[in-house]
Amino acid sequence: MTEPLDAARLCWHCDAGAFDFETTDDLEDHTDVLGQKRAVEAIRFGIDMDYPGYNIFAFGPEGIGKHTVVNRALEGRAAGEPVPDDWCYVSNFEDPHRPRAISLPAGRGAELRADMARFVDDCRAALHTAFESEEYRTRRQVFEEELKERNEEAMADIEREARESDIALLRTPVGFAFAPIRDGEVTSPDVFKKMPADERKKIEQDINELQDRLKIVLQHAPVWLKETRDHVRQLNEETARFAVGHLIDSLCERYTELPQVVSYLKQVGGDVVDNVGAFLAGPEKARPEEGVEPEDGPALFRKYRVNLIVDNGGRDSASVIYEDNPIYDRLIGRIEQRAQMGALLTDFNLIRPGALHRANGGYLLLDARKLLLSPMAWEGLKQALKSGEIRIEPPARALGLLSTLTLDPEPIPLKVKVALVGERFLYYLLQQHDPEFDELFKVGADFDEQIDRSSDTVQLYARLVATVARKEKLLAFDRGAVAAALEAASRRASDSMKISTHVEGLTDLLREANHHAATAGRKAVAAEDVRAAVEAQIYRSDRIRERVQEEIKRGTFLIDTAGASVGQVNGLSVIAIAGFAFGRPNRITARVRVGRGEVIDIEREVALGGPLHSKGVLILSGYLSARYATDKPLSLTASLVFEQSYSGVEGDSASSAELYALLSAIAEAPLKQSLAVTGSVNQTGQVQAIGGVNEKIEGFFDVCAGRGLTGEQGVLIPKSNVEHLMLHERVVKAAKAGKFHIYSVETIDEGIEILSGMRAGKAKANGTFPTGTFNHKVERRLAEFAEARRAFGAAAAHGSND
Amino acid sequence: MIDTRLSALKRILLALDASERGASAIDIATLLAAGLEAELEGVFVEDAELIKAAGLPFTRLVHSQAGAVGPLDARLMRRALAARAERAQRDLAAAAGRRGVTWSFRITSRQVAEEVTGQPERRDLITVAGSAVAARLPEDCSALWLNEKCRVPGAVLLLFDGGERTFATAAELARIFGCPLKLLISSVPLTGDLQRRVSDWLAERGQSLVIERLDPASETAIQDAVRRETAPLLVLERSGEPGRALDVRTLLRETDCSVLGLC
Repeated sequence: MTEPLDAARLCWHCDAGAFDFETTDDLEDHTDVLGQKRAVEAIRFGIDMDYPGYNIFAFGPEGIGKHTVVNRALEGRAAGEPVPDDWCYVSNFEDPHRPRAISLPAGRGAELRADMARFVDDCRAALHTAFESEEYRTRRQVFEEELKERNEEAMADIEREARESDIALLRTPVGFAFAPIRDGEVTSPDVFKKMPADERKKIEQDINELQDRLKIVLQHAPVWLKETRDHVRQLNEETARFAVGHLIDSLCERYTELPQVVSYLKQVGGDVVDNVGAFLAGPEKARPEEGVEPEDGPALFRKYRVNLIVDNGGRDSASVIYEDNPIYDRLIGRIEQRAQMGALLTDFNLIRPGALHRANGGYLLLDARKLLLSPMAWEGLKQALKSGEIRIEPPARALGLLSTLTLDPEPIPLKVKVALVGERFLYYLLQQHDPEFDELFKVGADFDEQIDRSSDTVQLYARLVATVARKEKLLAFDRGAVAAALEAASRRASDSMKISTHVEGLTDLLREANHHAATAGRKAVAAEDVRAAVEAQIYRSDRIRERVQEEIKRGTFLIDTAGASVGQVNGLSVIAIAGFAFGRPNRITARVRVGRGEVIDIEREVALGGPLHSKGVLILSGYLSARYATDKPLSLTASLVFEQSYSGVEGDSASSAELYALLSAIAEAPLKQSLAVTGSVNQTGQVQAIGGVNEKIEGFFDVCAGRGLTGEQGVLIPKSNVEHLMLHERVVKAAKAGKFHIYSVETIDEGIEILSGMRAGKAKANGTFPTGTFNHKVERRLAEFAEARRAFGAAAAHGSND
Repeated sequence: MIDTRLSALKRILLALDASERGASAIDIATLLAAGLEAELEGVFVEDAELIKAAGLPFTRLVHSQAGAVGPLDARLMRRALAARAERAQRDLAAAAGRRGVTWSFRITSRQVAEEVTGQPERRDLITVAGSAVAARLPEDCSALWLNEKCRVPGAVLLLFDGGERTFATAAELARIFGCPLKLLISSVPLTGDLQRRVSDWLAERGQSLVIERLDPASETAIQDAVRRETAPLLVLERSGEPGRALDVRTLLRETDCSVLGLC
């Protein structure tokens, strides 16, 4: 018969005496990552690979410090790299809808911006001076006078000629007209009619000739006007070019080594000359006072401004940018609009940079989940990485939903290393479903949630506790407290041989332990403070666990913890709610009768059983057939059920319990109800490891403890789960006192012996089991079922023949 | 306090015709009426000569913008004049409304000279623009001849005759038009006492003064002085020297200034 496990194997107790420090004040910081060698190497590799697509996806559970590790690695690398260029958008005078992007060495973008602001002021002053000069006005007046003289002379000639023929040129509201005059007055129609016919005819002829001549003069007038305008335009160009030429030349000299800037400045010069009227229309000084930039300068001059979207002046290395809210606009950049008179207007000054612009030439760190949850952001990032340039366009246009006129800024070349940080399932999902993912994120950095427990890692963990305590400005932790924290870390890992690397969980625990110590007035955090913090964490979360326990105690949920029953066993399940998991016993029952070899899983029949549970139940049929019915048909129908289960059942960890219940029902042999069972089973009857072993044991222990420990109670677990045991002290104490037992079993036979108190019995050479054993009872009952079925089948056949 | 020649002015009589400059003339006249708190009376003079000419059987219109020749008759001319008069009235109503000026408007078919000669009193200011500047205006009332370009004055130039009230009037006009005041002095001395009083008076009103000496005050010298300003308003005493000798029409034609003759 299998003996219960020794209490020492139920939990790993960290030996505080093995530490060579008194408190964590004696320990140095642990600045490296605890464990995670694989992930750290992957990150370093990703950073070193200066090729497209070698971006990094750091994945693993939340709270284990992925972000910190990646950020530290990126910062370390960026510190030795050159400062990236500044970037700015300027007007494209040839195509205003495609603003030009210009790069300048770090710091010079701000210089250019200031220079251009001054240039506009200087330009206005210079142009006003030039165009208000006596010389310019005189030269312009000469052209205007010339035009006036040409018009007047032409009209005067006609007027004079008309007057010589006693004809007046009249200016009417609708044009010119000629009329004969007598004594300085226009001849009335009556007088005209009384004139001799030849005189009337001559007047008419004269007037016709004058009209023809006037027509020619008037047709010439627009030509003369255009000539004058051309002259004035040429004069304006000459004057403007002279006035602003030296300003442009001096700016070009300052940026002579930057051909892009020089080319832009020359275009500015040309545009100023073309638009000199705009400069002269406004006041000489638009600014209220020197050095104070108006919030939104005159619209006319906005096109000469420099929109500095990336200013790396003041930096001494490449940048590492973390965008906390990676929505499309904040990632790729956006084009803002201003409402004016009910219309939305924009220009290149309203182009706003995204995180990619700021990180260009350096590193960009993003949370994968946030990125994927932001509409279009993931697609936008991939597009930028694939094309190697940042193209700012409204998301609606990228989707083809926007056709209104907007800007199409020149794309900016992109060279950035992107590091995504996220959960493991996101990495696998992307890998599986996004064909571009592997091409763009070639480096996966897999963070482990636990590390092996060894003397080295225990020491390192102690230093990690010291580091967190100092960083969080907590009291020092004494060696006992550190040991307690290590035990908690092992429990979190659900493995006595492992330590959880969940830094966030550790930090929370240390803060809360510190609170307990401070409340108690201690100068250093002690083990009881850590344990109190652990208990408090459990207490804050275990309302539902308590309610379940209460209902069991009150008999609402039927769980026996004493006596023996046929076809009934205590199974164990785990309920996890909001990060807190606890075990709950479930009564599993089985009923059998003659049938056609079916094991009916009632959970599955009512769609409450998941696929893994159903698989476990189907395995039972295989086990029964192979073990007990090799030479005859399996002639039973069995039904299995999780009693009082009102939600789904998933997993196969109860399959051994179901098998025990089934065997008990077949053999009609009672099983001890003081025991509970967990473990999955295979077709050969081996009991296999399951998860949540600690919670399951504690769940049944609490039920038993609530009713009073009898010394008969205990739990059967798979042998392969023994190393996972990190049971609560209350369970360990009871086990030590012989009041509660943990049995580790490898096979169903071992389990059945503990549960039934009978020998299981080994199959003999002929395949039968020795009389008086549990298996013999099963074998015999199954044979009876087979015989009954055969007899029933024969009778039925005979009846039908009759 | 120095009294101005305009303080007694009660009415501005604005003679309008079919010329293109009507709206600008209305703008200046309402600005002046508002500044002087005078009533503005617009008189649109329909040129009888035009209607007469339109009645001739062979008269044709030569359109100034296209050079095209079209038919012309008295009906068309009347309609064109009526349209122009209506627009003048609308412009006058709008400008007067904006500046809170009391106004009236009428249309007459008499000649400008006939119209204004029969109407004015000494307390009137006759304002003429366009072809009406050619009309001979009565000597016993103040008159404002607006230049063809009809721009709001950029400076007020006073052809100074030594009169304190003339000076004060020019200063008042400079205030109304919001432009600088310049004194053109020839033979008339600006006495120390007058200069002090003038300076005090101007300082009280936040105005400044520029003095330019004309030697001699010939027509050419006046034209040169006028040309140095942008669209100035030349103020002179109609009955005094050298204003009496000045040919207003030549000045209007040769320069871009307007002329205000005080009476």
